[in-house]
Amino acid sequence: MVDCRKIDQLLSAYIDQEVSPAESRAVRVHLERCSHCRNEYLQLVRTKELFSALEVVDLPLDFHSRFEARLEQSSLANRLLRWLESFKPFVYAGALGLLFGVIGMPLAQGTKVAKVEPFSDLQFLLVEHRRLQQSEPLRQQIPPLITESDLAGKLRPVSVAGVFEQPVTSEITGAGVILVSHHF
Amino acid sequence: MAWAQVIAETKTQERTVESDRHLFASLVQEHERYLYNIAYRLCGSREEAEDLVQDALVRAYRAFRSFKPGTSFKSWLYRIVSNLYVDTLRKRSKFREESLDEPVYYEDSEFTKMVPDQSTDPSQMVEEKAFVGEVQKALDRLPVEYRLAVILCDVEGFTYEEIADIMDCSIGTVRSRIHRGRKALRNYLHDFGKAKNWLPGTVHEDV
Repeated sequence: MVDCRKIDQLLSAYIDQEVSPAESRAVRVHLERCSHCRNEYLQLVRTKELFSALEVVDLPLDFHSRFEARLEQSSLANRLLRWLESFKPFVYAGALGLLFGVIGMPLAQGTKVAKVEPFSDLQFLLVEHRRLQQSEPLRQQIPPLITESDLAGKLRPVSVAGVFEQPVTSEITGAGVILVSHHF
Repeated sequence: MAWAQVIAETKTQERTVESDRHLFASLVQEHERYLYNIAYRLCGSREEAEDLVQDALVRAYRAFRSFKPGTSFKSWLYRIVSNLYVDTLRKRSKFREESLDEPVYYEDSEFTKMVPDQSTDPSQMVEEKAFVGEVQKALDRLPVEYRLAVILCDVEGFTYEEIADIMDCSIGTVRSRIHRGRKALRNYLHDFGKAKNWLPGTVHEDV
């Protein structure tokens, strides 16, 4: 029966209440007189009920610590990689940056200074997760953000201009290592 | 919750890096449990689910500027997880290409009458470890698009419109995927369901 085929295709949507009033009526009327489709309908209802009744699987207790460890590793690898990448073009800029106490500098992208971040995104996630886990406000340890005006007219190493598609920021930590991070 | 929503309604031009960080952290905290749940149902293993969630969180943070305040963060986040999962499968070359059978055409209606009242309550069934294992196995067998659609609908309770948004397809496609997916699951679970008196009636052999 053609009716059965058409109705069958509507059954799941009918169960989920995702059919139009006209479709709903057509299905209802058909189910009243067709035992085959009614059987199919009830089985699909059962199937949906089963999956809907599955319990929510909780995050493992040590999920955050493992995530933190992973970010730590990524961040470390990221630092090394980016440091190596940035070493050549930034060596002079970095030295000057240290001298002037600049912890961040804008790059290329014309004269537009987009987001200037003292921390890479991975570092941020790490800090955020630590913060969420501990009551101690770790954010206090984060240096204040650099504003655009702080950077106006400051160093602008052009040798890597165009390499990065996204706005790039740099930071200097410890013994003058320059970190370059993509942001967003 | 309320705070997150207030911030989510903040106009784009008022967003700062700092507010984005706070907003992201609070939204993730709110949704990470459900994110892990969907990842687990998709992957079928805790280890893979955890990797998927971690990858998705990193990707989500990097793309957070593209999130439009006032829209559903949950849908946005689930879209990232879905895309990431499909990408991962493709990279592993484990992407399932097989398609399910065409919708069934019924020539006749000679079927056993169902006896729903004698069936076991699904909420009792899922308390049985063995049955939960069978359910997950059945999910794992589904082609990824069907699995995703069914999980989003039946496990997560999204509407077809929301699923279409997450899966970047039409509502008609969602309707078809859920229906075919649900039928396939019913078929996969048929024997086990019958033995447990969970499934009423009979399944057509052609299904």
